[in-house]
Amino acid sequence: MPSLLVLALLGTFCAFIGAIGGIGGATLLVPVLLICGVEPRLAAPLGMLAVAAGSLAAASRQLDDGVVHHRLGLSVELFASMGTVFGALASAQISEQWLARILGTAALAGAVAAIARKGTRNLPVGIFDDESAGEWPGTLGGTYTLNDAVVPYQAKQVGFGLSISVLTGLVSGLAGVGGGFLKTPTMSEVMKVPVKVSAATSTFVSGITASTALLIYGIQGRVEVRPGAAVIVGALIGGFCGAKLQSRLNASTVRRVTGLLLLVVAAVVIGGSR
Amino acid sequence: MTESSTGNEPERFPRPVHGPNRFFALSIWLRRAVILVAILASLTLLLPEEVGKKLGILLVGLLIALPLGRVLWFVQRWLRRGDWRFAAVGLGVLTVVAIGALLA
Repeated sequence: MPSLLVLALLGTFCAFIGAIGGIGGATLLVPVLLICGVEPRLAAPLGMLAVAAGSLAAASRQLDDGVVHHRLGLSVELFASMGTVFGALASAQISEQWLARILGTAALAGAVAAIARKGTRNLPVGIFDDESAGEWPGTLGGTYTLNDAVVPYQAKQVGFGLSISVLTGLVSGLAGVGGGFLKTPTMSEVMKVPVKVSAATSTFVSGITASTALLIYGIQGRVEVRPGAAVIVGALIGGFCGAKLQSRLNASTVRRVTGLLLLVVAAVVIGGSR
Repeated sequence: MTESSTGNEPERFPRPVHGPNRFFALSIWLRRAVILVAILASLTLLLPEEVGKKLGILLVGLLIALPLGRVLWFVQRWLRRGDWRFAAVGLGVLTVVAIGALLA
């Protein structure tokens, strides 16, 4: 296990890159920890602590902006958490070689999602005067603000999207990543929810996924609290600074760079598991 | 002209009127929780190992409880407003988490 200072620095770096790249910190942190020699059984809980801290740090700002669709998020999470439970339980039974391969594949999927992810799809229609942004009660639709106009949206292909959520949850539980890099494209590309809403909802949902997995890891005695605290401090600092910088940078360029970085990480992790 | 317009802006798109933040109380509590988590994590690292470890367990417990508490907050809100379907979805999520903990 690397020193606490190294863990804090790794947590800061990965959360920083994850925040500006919009792929979540653990996607990068867990493979990097593996490269640093941390056992997969211990790396996964550390990744989940980073996810939980990142989700918490972003929560109040996203609530204020009205971009989190809690009903959609909980619907997705109901299915994803089933996968997470099985994944987290199974991860204790799977060999470290296979865990590393799954983590490498998860990093590869993150790379593809980061590179392929589109920008803004929905354009404002601006006809919803006197209406505040947010989710519509009792539905999987709502509005969000873009360029001072209100954009309405409604989730589509809900059944298909929820089925995919089970798989994303399974990967989360097995690999110790929040799964935001899979959940965001599921909501935005399959369910046709705006990317901004998908990303914020995914951050909220990833916090619950992390909570579920951490509960199981904790009962299994796999959570190392002092290294975890170092990662949390790093994740809070990196996430905060990354979110600040994100608004000033060209997000698509950063996502491509992050995607390439993940490709390298995936190659190293999968190559090392042979 | 909407209420929030200044009068000098072109009215290409009407500005949305931001009503009072519906989740203001929750937002404030979450901000406080971030500060608490940051303090607890720092103390876990800075204090001697024995004390730090106890605080670390509290820290991990807090990170587990906070998202679930947020779900519970929405469930009670939707129950009070008659949004039964999504209140049931929220309760379903909490049930799956509980089953996961029991299976572990």
